[in-house]
Amino acid sequence: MDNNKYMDLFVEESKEHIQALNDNLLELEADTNNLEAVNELFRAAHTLKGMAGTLGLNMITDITHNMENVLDEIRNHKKEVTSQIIDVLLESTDTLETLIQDVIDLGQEGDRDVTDLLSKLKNPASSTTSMLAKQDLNYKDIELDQYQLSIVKVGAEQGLFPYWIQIRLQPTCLLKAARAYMVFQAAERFGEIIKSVPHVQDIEEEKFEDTFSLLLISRADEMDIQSKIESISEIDSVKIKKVQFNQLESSKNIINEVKSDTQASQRQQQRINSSNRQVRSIRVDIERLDLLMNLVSELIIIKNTMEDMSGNNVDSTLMENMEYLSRVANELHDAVMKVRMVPIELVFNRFPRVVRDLAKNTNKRIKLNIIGADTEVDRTIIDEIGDPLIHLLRNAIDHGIELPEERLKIGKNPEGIVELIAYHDGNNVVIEVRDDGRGINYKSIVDNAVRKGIVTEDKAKELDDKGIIDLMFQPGFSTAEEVSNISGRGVGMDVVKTKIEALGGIIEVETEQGKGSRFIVRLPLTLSIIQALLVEISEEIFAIPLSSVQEIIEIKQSDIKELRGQEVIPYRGVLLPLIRVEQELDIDYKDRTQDDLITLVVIKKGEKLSALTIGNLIGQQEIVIKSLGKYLSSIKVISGATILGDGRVALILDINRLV
Amino acid sequence: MGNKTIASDKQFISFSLGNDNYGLDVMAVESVERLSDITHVPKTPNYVLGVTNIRGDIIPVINLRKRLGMDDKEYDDDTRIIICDLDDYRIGLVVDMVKDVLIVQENNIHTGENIFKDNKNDFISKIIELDGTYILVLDLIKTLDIGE
Repeated sequence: MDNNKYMDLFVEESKEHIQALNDNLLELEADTNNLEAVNELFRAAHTLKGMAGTLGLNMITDITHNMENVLDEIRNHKKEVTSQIIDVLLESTDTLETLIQDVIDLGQEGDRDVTDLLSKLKNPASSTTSMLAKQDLNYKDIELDQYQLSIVKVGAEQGLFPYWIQIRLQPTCLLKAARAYMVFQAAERFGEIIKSVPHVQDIEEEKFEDTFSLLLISRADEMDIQSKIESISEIDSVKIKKVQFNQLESSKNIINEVKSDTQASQRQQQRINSSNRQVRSIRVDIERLDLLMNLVSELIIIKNTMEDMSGNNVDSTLMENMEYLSRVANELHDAVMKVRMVPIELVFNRFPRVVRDLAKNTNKRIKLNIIGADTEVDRTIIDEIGDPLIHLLRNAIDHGIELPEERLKIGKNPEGIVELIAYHDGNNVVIEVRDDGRGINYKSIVDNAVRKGIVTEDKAKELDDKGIIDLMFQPGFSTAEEVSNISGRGVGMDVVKTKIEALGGIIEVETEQGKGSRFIVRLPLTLSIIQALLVEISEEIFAIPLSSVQEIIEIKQSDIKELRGQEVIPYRGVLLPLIRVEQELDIDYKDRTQDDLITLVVIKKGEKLSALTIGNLIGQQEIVIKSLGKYLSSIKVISGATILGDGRVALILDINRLV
Repeated sequence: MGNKTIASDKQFISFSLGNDNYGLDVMAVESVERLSDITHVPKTPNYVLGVTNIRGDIIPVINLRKRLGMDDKEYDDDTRIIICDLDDYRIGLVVDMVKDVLIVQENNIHTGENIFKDNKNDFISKIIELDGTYILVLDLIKTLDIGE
């Protein structure tokens, strides 16, 4: 259905408008005279209103309508930008976001109560509405009698355009009637004044606030008229519109706007300018990109199959063409991958607002620096990484940054700095959340973990710094009592870790007492096609992501030593724990004699290295990651599967879980 | 009994396991495939054979004999995988032989309750009576142990 399509469009675009509202409200808060921000806000609210109206989303329409009213008053300098207004507008934006989420989830607005918000929005507006009604350029004022109408009609036949002119005098103007008289004089030089609001007599007797309007018929250009009137001193503003009287015979004078006022046309001009930058891009449904990616995946599987088949062939032309096919397939993969890449800005954009709210609620002063917002990541990551990052930010602000007084006492700038940094590092994208706060207190982590029963007191004593940090990511470490109303999600650091690992990434922590902490999130650039090492373990083929592989080594069985039940091997002057994959996977394995050489894969998880026993090495291959499906989703040591050149399925080892 | 389908008629795919005939609602069946390479998946129950590649999709495969507590049997030319599609789950069931698509009238379908002594009837939702033979209809949700 067409309405559904429109609904999709609404859902898609509304997010951008919500973002625009948030961004510009923050800008306006920083600089209350930023009229450009007000205009942007008005535009966003207006577009939302229009779209919601078409879809019959009444609450959204109501809220945006009232936001428009408030913004319009700000724009016309009838209202000062106060922090209350910013708060109400931010609250409205949040409510809109919730309502839109309802629309996404339910296909319609839920039954939320927005009357409170509406009255808050209306309240500051109500005090000035009487003024507003008079000052706004209102067509309903132009009620012409038969005689006036006939003049307009006759004028039109002679090429005279009717202009509706609204003049506002400066509030400081002393002789309003005299100024009005000058305006009348100036206007009459261009044509004939048919009507004025208020009536000429009232104007002469100064019976008006500071605004009056004229209906002028003239041959002249509207710009000429406007500049002439504007040249009169003590005039605050002049708005002029060319109007058109439809159905002149009917008693109802329906007037259509022919030309927007100069402000509006400026606005349009700006819009054209800002859209100029985007002219060379198109909007594509993410599903189409997924489809394209799937097709590329299929192509790579077939390419692998053909490479297998031609493996023993000596025909040089075939080999040449195989190489060519292989190169084109890889380039196609790269190209499609790039199309799926979007700047991480899409996620980071939400954070200035989040940080502002957090700072306000925790009474801390915080400066957020965002670096590398243009770093591109896969679309899938964008959708998933927001929540974990918000949690890390919350953590940094809640637990990291000290209160301003405390910071002053220890000689720090009272304003804490939180940095959000994104950059590419090889085949990874790295996102860091840094703060210059107090750093992580190892002792309080241990105390908390012992209290919550995550670790015994004895065991905790043996833990090194890394082991203590790991406690933070254990389920049950952060509890509901510590979750402030800001994030409201009640997720702990364990959820952050799980989510990042589900994306194939890892999280590391660095901290320095009194200086601050760094949370480093490392994610793969792409999620669906990776380079992998294929190995054989007990006659089955497994794939290990190449990004986790440090080196392949051969050692003698006799080099394996046992320390407190943990097998270790010497490796470049250090000892590495040995992981017997067969055991981890519950597969039978053959015992080897003492002098047998065994092949090991040294794998890395962050900074941590381990050695993995494998049977035979098969080689390196580009593989397409496929899900094992919901039925087998609970298997921890396998992260997915791939289809080999011969059509068989190989399982992908989940290195994060093995180590 | 006519061959024409009427609204109340239901269609079932019938297959055999040992001496018994079983049935599955066609609405839950996606396709019937010949046996292909199955990759064993570690840390799964013993009746899960592994995963197989069906035209580019990776699908878990279950040994239905084992699941129903029957003795295992060597695969032969008649062995088939029935690919079932149940909500978000796509799962293959290995069966001895796929026989027919049956059109069954409502009044020939009986509930399976109170027929089997032990928990064997856990997996059977209905029994179809057809020309003097009986066909056991599997309850896929219970058979596959999915859902809440």
